[in-house]
Amino acid sequence: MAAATRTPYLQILVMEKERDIQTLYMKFLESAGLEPVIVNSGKECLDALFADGASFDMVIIDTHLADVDGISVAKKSEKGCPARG
Amino acid sequence: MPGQRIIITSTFTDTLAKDLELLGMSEKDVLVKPFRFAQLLSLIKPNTSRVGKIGLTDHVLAFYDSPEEEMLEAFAFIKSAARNDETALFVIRKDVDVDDLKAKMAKDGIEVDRLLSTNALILVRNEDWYIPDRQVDKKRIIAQWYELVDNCTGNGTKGLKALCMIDCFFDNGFAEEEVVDYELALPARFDIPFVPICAYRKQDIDRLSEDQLKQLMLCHNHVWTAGDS
Repeated sequence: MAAATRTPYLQILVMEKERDIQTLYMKFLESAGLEPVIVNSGKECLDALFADGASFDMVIIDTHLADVDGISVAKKSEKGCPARG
Repeated sequence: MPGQRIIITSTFTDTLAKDLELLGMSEKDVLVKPFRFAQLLSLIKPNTSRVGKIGLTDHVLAFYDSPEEEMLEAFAFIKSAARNDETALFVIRKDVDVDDLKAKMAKDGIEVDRLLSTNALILVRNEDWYIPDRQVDKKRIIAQWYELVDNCTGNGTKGLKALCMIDCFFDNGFAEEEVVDYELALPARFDIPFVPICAYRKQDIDRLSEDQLKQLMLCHNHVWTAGDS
């Protein structure tokens, strides 16, 4: 059998404020053949989630952020609500 | 959002229980820091579909135990096409209710109306696609594939992903040899931007002889058995 062509399929958004951990996420997920989008804050996360054409299969959310708590971001993501704050 | 999985990372879980309940989540959706990346992988893996491991030019033979399993894979395939600027063709069996199908797609996060309106998604009955005149004319069917791929690339998409329910051959009284003969006329790997998943029901596969099944497997470069996604 011929080898399969790798195509990015699973779209993952990671919300993590720690730079070192961001780097670990990036390295790990890329090595798994994925192309994560990594954001630093709740605002950036919501912007990415509700950007035109955005369609993330998985969102990894840190609960402890400087600007907003991760749970409220999770709630907005769950509702599909574009409201900010 | 429909079809989206949320994973929470946190240093503690004591105060999360109520929020998790509100979100319809459980402790299985939480990674407690510090966590090992192997733990993260175990959460990602169930979401990592085998459709992500194939690309344009592959030719897939897939066996399904249930219509539900087949639909889930079809939806994942259509979503991957939409993300990659490819056209998706869903060749459906005659008893699939199109309105119900569209509702299920939308619930799964597929922008079905937009995709259909732009021809990024095409729905067609398998009898109309394969046997419009109730004959297995393999030359006509293959020419039809090449023409559609040409149209897709001509319209600016990168190629064609097609999930094809093959049961019409079996339900319309054609001999098993005819479907095998058609499949053998296709390459195991295409030289055009085209990736079909030839979707067979378990009961149809059971009608094939061992030799026919072996031939089918050899003329595809990926074989997916039921339940190994």
